[in-house]
Amino acid sequence: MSEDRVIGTGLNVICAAERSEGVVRYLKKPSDVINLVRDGDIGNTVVLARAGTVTFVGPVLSRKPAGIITIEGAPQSHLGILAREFGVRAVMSIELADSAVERKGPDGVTSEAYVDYAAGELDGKRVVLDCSDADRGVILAAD
Amino acid sequence: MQTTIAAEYLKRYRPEDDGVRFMPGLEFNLAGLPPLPDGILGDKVLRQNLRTALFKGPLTESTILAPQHSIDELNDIMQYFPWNFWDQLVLRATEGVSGLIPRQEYELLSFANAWLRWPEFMLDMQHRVGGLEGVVELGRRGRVPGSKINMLHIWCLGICSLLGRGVFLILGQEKPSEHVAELNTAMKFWEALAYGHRADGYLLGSQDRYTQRNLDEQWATRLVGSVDSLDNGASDFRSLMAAAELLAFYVHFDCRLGMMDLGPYILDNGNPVIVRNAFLREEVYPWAEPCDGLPYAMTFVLEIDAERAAIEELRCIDIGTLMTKPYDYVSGIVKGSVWVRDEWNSEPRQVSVGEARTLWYEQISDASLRIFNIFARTPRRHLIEQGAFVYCVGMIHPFLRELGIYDEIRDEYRLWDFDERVSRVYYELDRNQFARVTVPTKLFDPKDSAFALVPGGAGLWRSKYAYV
Repeated sequence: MSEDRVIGTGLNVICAAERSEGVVRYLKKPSDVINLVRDGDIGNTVVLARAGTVTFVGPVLSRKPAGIITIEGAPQSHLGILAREFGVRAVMSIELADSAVERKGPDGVTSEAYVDYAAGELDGKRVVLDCSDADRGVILAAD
Repeated sequence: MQTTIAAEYLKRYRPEDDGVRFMPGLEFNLAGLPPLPDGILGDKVLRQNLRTALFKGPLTESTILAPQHSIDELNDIMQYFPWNFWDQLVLRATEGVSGLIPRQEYELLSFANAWLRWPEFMLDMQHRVGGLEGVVELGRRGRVPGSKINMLHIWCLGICSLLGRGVFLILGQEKPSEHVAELNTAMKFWEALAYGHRADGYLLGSQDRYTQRNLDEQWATRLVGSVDSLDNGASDFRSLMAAAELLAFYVHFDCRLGMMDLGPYILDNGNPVIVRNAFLREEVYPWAEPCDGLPYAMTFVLEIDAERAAIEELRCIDIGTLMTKPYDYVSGIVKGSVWVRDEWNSEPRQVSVGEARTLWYEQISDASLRIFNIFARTPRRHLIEQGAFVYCVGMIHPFLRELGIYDEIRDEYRLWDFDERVSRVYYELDRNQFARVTVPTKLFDPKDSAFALVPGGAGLWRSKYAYV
C-alpha cells in the first residue's frame, strides 16, 4: 500500500481481501439517490453519503455499488449490517488525511463545514477501497 | 445442551462472567450511581445499587400483579431503564442526519404524544382483559414467529413513556412530582407484558445476558430444527434477508419496529441460532401500499458458525437487533431457513430459500424503491408527523389489534391525532437543533436528567389535571 496515496480512513464494515474501485458520487439529496438508480453506473460507483442511516442509501445498496463511504455512522448500525448482508464494501465515519477542517462544530456534532469539505474532496475522484483490515478501511487515490 | 466445543461466546453465560465491553472506555453517568460500563458488567453494577427487588432477579407473578409501585420501585425503573437505553444506543452509535427522514425530530414529537395519550389506552386495555393478569396473557400471545407482540414493541411502551416525560421535563412543562399515577399505569402495563412475553421472570434482556428466547418451546424446536445447509445459496439467503430488512425499515419509517431478532438458541455443536423477523406489510400505514401482496412477515432462521466468526459475545438486545463482538457475524452464517406469515394472525409456514426469492425478491426490492420515492416527495413536516405516528400509534397498535379494538380506539379516542399540548411544542422541538443536540445532551446529563427521580414525598395518585 506504501506507493498508494491515502485519501482517508474510517471504520471498516466488511473485511475483504480484494480491493474495490470506482468513481465517488456524493449523494446529498433523495433526488440524487433516485438519479443514480435511474441512470447511473452503480457497479462502478463508490457512493458517498453523509449519514450512516440505511434508508437514505437503501435503493443503491441493494443494487451493489462498488462501495459506500459515509461521513458519520458505525459498522454496528443497520447500514453496516445490511452492507455486510448485501456484500458491499463500506467505510464509515471517515477521517480525511490532512483535513483542513475540524470534524466537530461547537455543538459537539459533525459540522456542516466538514461535510461540505469531505464531499468536495471526494466527489468525482476515482478511488480504491482497501477493506483488508478487520477494523480500519482505507480510501486510496486510484490514479 | 451437550456442548463440548469451547466457543468463546459461551463463557458469557457463566454466572461469574462479566462479559466483554463493546465500547471500552465509555461509561454511563447518572446522578446517585457509580459510572456504569456497557454490557453484563454494567447490569451487575447497576443492580447492586438499586433500592428494590424489581431488577435484582426473576420476578414472581404476585409482584407483577400488584397494582401499585412504590416510589422506590418507580425510581429503580427511572435508573435501570435509562442505562438499558444508553447501553443499546452505544451499540448503535451515532448514525447522523438521515437526509431522507427527520427521525430525531419525529421521535421527540412521538415521545411527547405517547406520554400524554398512552396511559389512557393502557388502562382501557387492562380493564378489558380483566386486569394485569390479562395483560400478562396478552404478552404471552406473542411467543410465535412473525408477531409484533414482541420485546421491541413492549420495550418501546416502557421507555418511550419515560422519554415523553423527559421531553416535558426538559421543556420545563412538567415537574418530577407530577403525573405519578400515569407513570405507574404505563410501567405496570409494560412490566406485565414483558413478564408474560419473556416467561423467564425478567423484564429486559440486559438482565439475562442479552437473551431473547421469547418463543414457545414448540416453535423454538420447529424453527431451530428447520435450518439447512446453505451451500452455494448463502449469498442468495443473505441478500434476500437484507432486502426484507431494508423494506421493513421503509415500511416503519427508518426505525426498527419492523425487525425483531430472537435467541440465541444454542445447538449441541455450540453454534447459536438466531430467529430474525422482518415485517413487510402493515395496512395502517398509507405509504406501505406498494407492499400489498407480500407476506405480512418473513422469518429468517440462521445458524452462525461461532468459531469461524470468532464470536466473543453475542447480544440480542431489547430493540430487536443482534449485536456481536466482533461485529461481523454475517460471514459466519452456515445454515438457514425461511418462514413466512401471510397475515398478521395466520399460521407461520416454511418456504424454501429458492421459492422465497422467486416469489418475492423483486417485489420486495421494488416496494423499497417505491416507498423511497414517496418519502422523497413528502414535505418535511408531513414526514415528521407521519414518523411520529409510526411510533406513538405503531408501538401500541399490535396490542389493540390483538384485542380486536384498534378501530374502536382509533375512532373513539382519535388515536391518529396529537394532543394539543404536543402540537403546541412542535416548533420548539424542531428548532435550534433541539432534537439533535439539546435532548441527547440533557437525556444523560447527571445534573439535568430527563430521567429525574420521583421525589420521596410525591403522592402516588398524583396526576396533572390543570395546565396552569
